[in-house]
Parts: sequence; C-alpha cells; structure tokens
Amino acid sequence: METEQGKLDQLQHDLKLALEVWHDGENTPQNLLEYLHLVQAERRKLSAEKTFPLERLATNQVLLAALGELAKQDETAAQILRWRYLDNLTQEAIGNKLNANRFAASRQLKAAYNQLVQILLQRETAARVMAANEIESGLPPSSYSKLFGVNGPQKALVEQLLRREGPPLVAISGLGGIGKTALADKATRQVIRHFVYDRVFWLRLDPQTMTGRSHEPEQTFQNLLQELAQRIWPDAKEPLPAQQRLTQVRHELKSRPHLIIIDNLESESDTAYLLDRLNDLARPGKFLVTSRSQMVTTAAVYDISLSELPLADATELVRHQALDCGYDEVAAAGGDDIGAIYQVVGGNPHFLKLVVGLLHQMPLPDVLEQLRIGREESIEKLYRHIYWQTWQLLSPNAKKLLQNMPLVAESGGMPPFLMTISSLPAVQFWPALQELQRRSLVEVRGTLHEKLYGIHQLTRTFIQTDIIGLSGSEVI
Amino acid sequence: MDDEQAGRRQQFLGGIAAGLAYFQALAAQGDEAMDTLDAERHNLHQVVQYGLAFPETWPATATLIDQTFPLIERRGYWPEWIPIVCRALSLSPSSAPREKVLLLNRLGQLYFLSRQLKEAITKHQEAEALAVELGDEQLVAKAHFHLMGDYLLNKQYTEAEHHGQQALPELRQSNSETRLLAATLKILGQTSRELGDLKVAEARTKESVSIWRTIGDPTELARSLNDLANVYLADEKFEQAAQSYGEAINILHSSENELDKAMLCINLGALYYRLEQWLEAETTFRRADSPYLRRSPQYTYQAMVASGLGNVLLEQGRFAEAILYLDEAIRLWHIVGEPIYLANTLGAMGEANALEGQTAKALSWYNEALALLYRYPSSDWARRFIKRIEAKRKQLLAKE
Repeated sequence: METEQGKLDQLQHDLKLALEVWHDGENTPQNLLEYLHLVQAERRKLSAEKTFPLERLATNQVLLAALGELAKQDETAAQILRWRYLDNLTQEAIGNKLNANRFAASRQLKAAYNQLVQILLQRETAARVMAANEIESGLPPSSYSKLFGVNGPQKALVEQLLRREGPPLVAISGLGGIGKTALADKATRQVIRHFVYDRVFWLRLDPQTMTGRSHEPEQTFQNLLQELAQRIWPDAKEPLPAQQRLTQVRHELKSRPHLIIIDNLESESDTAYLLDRLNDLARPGKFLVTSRSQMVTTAAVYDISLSELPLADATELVRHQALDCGYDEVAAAGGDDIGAIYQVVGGNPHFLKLVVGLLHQMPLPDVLEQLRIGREESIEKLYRHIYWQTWQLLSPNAKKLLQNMPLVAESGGMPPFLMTISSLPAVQFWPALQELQRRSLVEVRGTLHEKLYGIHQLTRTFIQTDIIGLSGSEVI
Repeated sequence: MDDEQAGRRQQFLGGIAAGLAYFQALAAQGDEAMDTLDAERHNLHQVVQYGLAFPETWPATATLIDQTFPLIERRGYWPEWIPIVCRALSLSPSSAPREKVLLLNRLGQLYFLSRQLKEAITKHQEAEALAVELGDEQLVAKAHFHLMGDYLLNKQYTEAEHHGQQALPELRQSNSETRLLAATLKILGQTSRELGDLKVAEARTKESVSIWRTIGDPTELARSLNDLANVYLADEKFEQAAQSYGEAINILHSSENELDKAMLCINLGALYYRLEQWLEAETTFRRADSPYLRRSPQYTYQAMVASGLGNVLLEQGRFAEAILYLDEAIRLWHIVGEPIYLANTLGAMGEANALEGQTAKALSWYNEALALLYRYPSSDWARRFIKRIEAKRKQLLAKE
C-alpha cells in the first residue's frame, strides 16, 4: 500500500471480500486484512488467550469493532451493513426494511460501506502511530538533537534496512566517536515508521573484560543469544537450557521479521565471528551492527564506513552543540575560529563536542595552543590531551563521579548505583551528572521508561589509564 | 604514579568497595530483590571485574560472587560467569583460603549447570581437598554434597551414594545447614530410586519433604513432593503418587513459579492418563496449559502439554480437537528437535486420522513416525513406540 489512494483502494477491495465471506467459516482465506495492525494486534491477543491463533476470528473482531464505531456515528449505516453481511439479507430485503427500492438500498449500502472503510483507515492509522511509538520507547534515548554530515550514509542505510532483499547484515564502521550509534539510532527510528519489521531490539553488549575485549567470540555470541531471549520473552523468569537457546531464538527470528541492532561491537575477532553466526539467524529480518572494526567476514555484509566530518558540517555541529549547552559566545564564533579548531582537531564529532566545552571556559587562543601541543605527537595523544584539558575544568563533584564511571557497564547504570559508587548525595549528584552530560562525558542510555547513564569507550580508556593509572595487569 | 593519581586510585578503590556493598545489600534481600539485581547484573559484573583486580578488594568480591550465585543459577547466566570465577581463582591470595573453597565449589556448580561434568567433578574435588586441609567440616560437607550431585547426573550412582553419605553426618549435626541436609536427602532419594531401592528412596525423600515443611520453602517442598510422587509411581503406588503431585500443585498454586507448576501438572496428567482417567487427565493438562507457558520460550513443556492433551482427547473420541493439539505438538517437537517424542506424536496423529476414517492420511502419519523411529534402534523408547505403531498400522491395513 504505497500511496494514500492506493491504501484506500486496497482496503476497499479487501474489506468487501472480508465482509462477503463472513459466514463461510473454514473455507475462506485466513489472511484477510492481515496487513492491518489492528488485525495483527487482535491475533496476538487471541493467541495469548487460546491455544490456536484463530486468524479469521481476529479479522472479524476488527470488523465488528469498526462497525461499533460506525454505529456511534451513524446507526442506520451500521445497521444496513449488519443486515447485508452479518444477517445475509439481499439488497431487496434491505430495501423493504428501509421502505426504499432496491437501487436506493444499494446506494445507501455503498455509502455505509465507504464510511466503514474510512473508520478502518482512521483506526489503522492510530494503531500504527501507537505501535511505532511503543517500539521506539524500547530504544535508548537519542544522544543528539541533530545530526550533521550523514545525509548520504543515512539515506543508504535506511534504503538497505527497508529492502527485503540484499544482505541481511548491515554494518556501520568507523573510528570511536565518529557517530556510528547516532546514525544507527536515526535510521532505526525512520525505519520503524515503515513497519517492515514486526519487532525491533536494540542491544548494547557489555564487554566481558575491562578492556572491551571478549574472552571468546563464542562467549560473546552466547551472551547475545541470552540478551535476545530476554527481549523476545520478557516475562520468562526461568532460563532456557543453553542448548535450546539457539534453536528457540532462531525459530522466533525466522517466524517474523525482526530488526536487531547490536551497538558497539568492540573487538575485531568478535565482529568477524558474530557476523558469520548472525548470517544464519537473519532473514526475514536484518541485523544492524556498529563497530570500530573493519568488516572482515565471509558473510555478505552491507558496510557503511563513516569518516570524519568535512569543515562545513563540523562548523555547524560546533555551533549547534554550543547553542544546545547555552554557550552563546561559542555559538557566535566566526568561521575562521572554528576553522582553526578544525585544523587541529579534525572532524570527529565526539572530540569536537568536548572542545566546545573547553571553549566555554578557556579563551580560544589558549585552547588552540594546548591542542597544538597535544597534536605534536599523534592524533591519539591529541585526544588524550583534550580529555585532560576537559578533566581539569571539571568541578570536584563531577570529577568524583566521572572517575568512578568505569564501574558502570556499557549498558549504563541507574542513579542510585551511580550515587553509591561516587559517594555523592542526591543534592550533589544531579548537578555533577548534568555537568558531565553538558560536557559530553556522560551519555544517556536505557529506554524512555528507564534512563541509564554510561560513558563512551574512549572516555573509559582515558579514566582507566590517565586518571586512575591502572596498569596493564590490572586491566584485563 | 604521582600523588594526585595515587589519591584518585584510592578513591576508585573506595568506589569499588561501595559498589560491592551495594550489591551485597541487594543479594542479602534474597528472592525479593532478585529482579532488581537482575536488572543491574551488568553493573554487578563490572564491579566484580574491578574488585578482582585489586588485592584489597578481592576477598569481598569473592564473597559477593558466592552471595549472588542464586541469581546466576536461576536466571541462567552461567556461561558468562565461568571465565569470571576462573579469573577470580587465578588471582586468589593465599590469605583467603576459605573464599577460595567457596569459589571452587561455585565454579564446579557452574560447570555442572553447563553439563561439563568432568570439570565440575575436578573443581569440587579441589574444593574438598582444600576444605579438608583447612579442617572446616562444613565446607567439606558442602563439597561432598556437590560431588554427589555431579555423580548422580553422570549416572555414577555408587559414587553419588558415597559422597552423600560422607556429607550427611556433618549436616545432621549442624543446625545451620538444614537446607543443605534436605537437599542432600532429596538427591540421595533420587540415587536410591535409580538403584531400584524404592523403600530407601521413599524414606529419604519423605525425610527431605518433612524438613522442607519445617523450613517453609514452598518451591523446594513442592520439588521434594514431586520426587516422592515419582518414587511412588516407580513402586506402582498410584494413589499416593497422585496425592503427592496434587499436594505439590496446591502448594505452588498462588506462587509465580510457573514452570514447576507446569511440570507437576504434566506429571499428574500423565499419571491420570496411565490410569485411564481421561477427564482428570484432560483437566490437569489444561491446568498446565497456562497463558504464561504459551508466552514463554519453553517449547518442550508446551509440546508435552499439547501432546498430552492430544492423546487424552483422542482417547475420549474427540478426534477433531485431538488433531489440532497433536498438530501443535508436532510443530513444537520439530522446533525442539526431539525425534523420538515427535515420532510418538506422529503415531498418535495417525491413530486420530484412522479413527476419523482418513485411512490414507493415517498410513502416511504412521509411515513417517516409523521411518523416524527406525533411525534409533538402540533406544528403548523407540523400540516400544515402533512395536505399538506397527501394530496399529497392521490393524489398519487389515481393515482395508
């Protein structure tokens, strides 16, 4: 159903068929109007109540509800449709009941029928909006208010995810801080509204070690299956035997299309291994993976590689970030000034955002001077230097919170846990958290219903090595 | 490392200690806080990883692993915890041997849950040896208890009996280990049942039931009653078996322990079926067929229920309904990959079609079932089903 007119035509045709075979029972097609969300929702409800999904019954329930709605608006129209399709009366008999001839009855029947189509369309639209909102509420909150420089990749990504054919594995790869998660988030939200996928799950796998490396790629795969099983069957309190988990998750993923986003696969060996295993689980759904590693795999993967922002987009991002944080003077910086920053920092969005925080508290020449010192050796040194500069400008409470953030998992932690590990009471904790968020050092994760807070892997590494000074043997 | 960094490191150690205390407090709340602890398990994991890295926080971290084990066990997180406990053991300081025994026992349990029985036995033996060295009788008894479970699962009944007997005296003496005593008696009951000594099995299981009654743990009591019913069943004391299953079902009635409830209803339904009490069997299988079970991924249980209902409806001559359930059971057995049970249900489907007068369809189902069963000549169950289905098929062909 591409266009509005197309939708209407299709619905008119199918609704008529569904009404005409009301009494035909088992011999009629079971898939009548099954593309409607209303019908799918009714089926789910019925199958939870009964052992066998009664497809036809679901369609009829939806039609009855629409007839009920029509009755509220126009009782006569609803009655005419009931006479015709539920009571199986001829147009002539309906005419008799209405004191009208057969042709007038036919006209009224047609009008009533069109009213019912409109009601179904309205109800379907409302059901779709609700369904999309519900799916979106399971995604982590977006970490951005606007994206820059990703129009091309975003378009390509959305196209890939909407295509039924093509590789079932889609990847976004690129350096840390380059915006992979943000792009995945933006594209996912867009794709949800097309209802190509029945269910959408966003997974952020926690690394099994402090370095982000995994013990074994197979272990990472097993953890992924565990997380997926929990999302698919959220009420199941008892674990599935490990040997059954793959079979059952696979069966579920094969039975209807799922879009599964696996955010932040750190290790190269994990990525290659997982993509090969996921290839077997995908279709009719797809997997979208974000990773710092290059896609080296035997599986067919559509890979979108993100690179640094060009100057124009970087300039826009700096101004937008400054406005978002309320740093008006930074937002008003001239193109040359931002160009000078770009010359030193480059176009990595994560670090550009950190620099915006620096500019709020230090004069531009000082920031540039510091960054140039950092840049002398390597880009990694520069990034560490930016972190150092940012760290030094933090309030004591923000420092206290940030230095304990490595104790929080990738998926994020709830405020009570964060308060405990930082020993900050609520009155000090919340301003510290806001300060870190404003400086792009803490990210919001979790879902709409439960916000969690975590740090970027680059920030984690900086705290571990530079702030706490963990040695190689301590960080395993 | 400069002074500032050393100061921050100290503060970070304080953060780890606070994190460990946070999770210890949650773990101490037991089942009530299980969901909260589960929701935060990734952070628990993270705190434990850091806690193990520093000698100052290692002992408290080892204790926390031991305390949070019920979460790991009940929610099925053992694969991800095996490497963590291995790492904990590799970093264990000589100053904390008691914690090392606790971890060795837990690692053995994790292997047991992963069905890596050789590794489980090795770790529990190491725990036993270290506990003996320490002269801690309770820890020695615990290690024996675990070894008993390992050997039972490995069908080494004599060894299981031996370790159970080693554990019993200390557990009977100790007032603080009544749960472990009840659990030991339950496993010893299973061992005796496997060895065919039904009198001893009954006595041991009854004692276990009686201790769980005193403790007041409904889940464990129901599980022991289930065992007792199984002993009665093996002894052909059907009425007592039905009573014990029934009592267990009633005990769990208002609990959320849905899988235990389903298993008990399936067992009782099968018993009624065996006794040819079709209506009772149907009612009991329908009790197992809860909305929770249908929404859950427990396809094996769903298949057992659908197959039970299909068979019992077949016996009642409600063929059309029976076919619906048998069809569902076939779909589910395919998913879980249980060819022998699948074949048995295919046979029942053949019978249902034969009774409906659909001879060609019935023969096709019988043939499919037999083709599957012939692949497992060494299975007792397969041989039993082959005999039955071949007879039905012959009967049908003769009628033709």
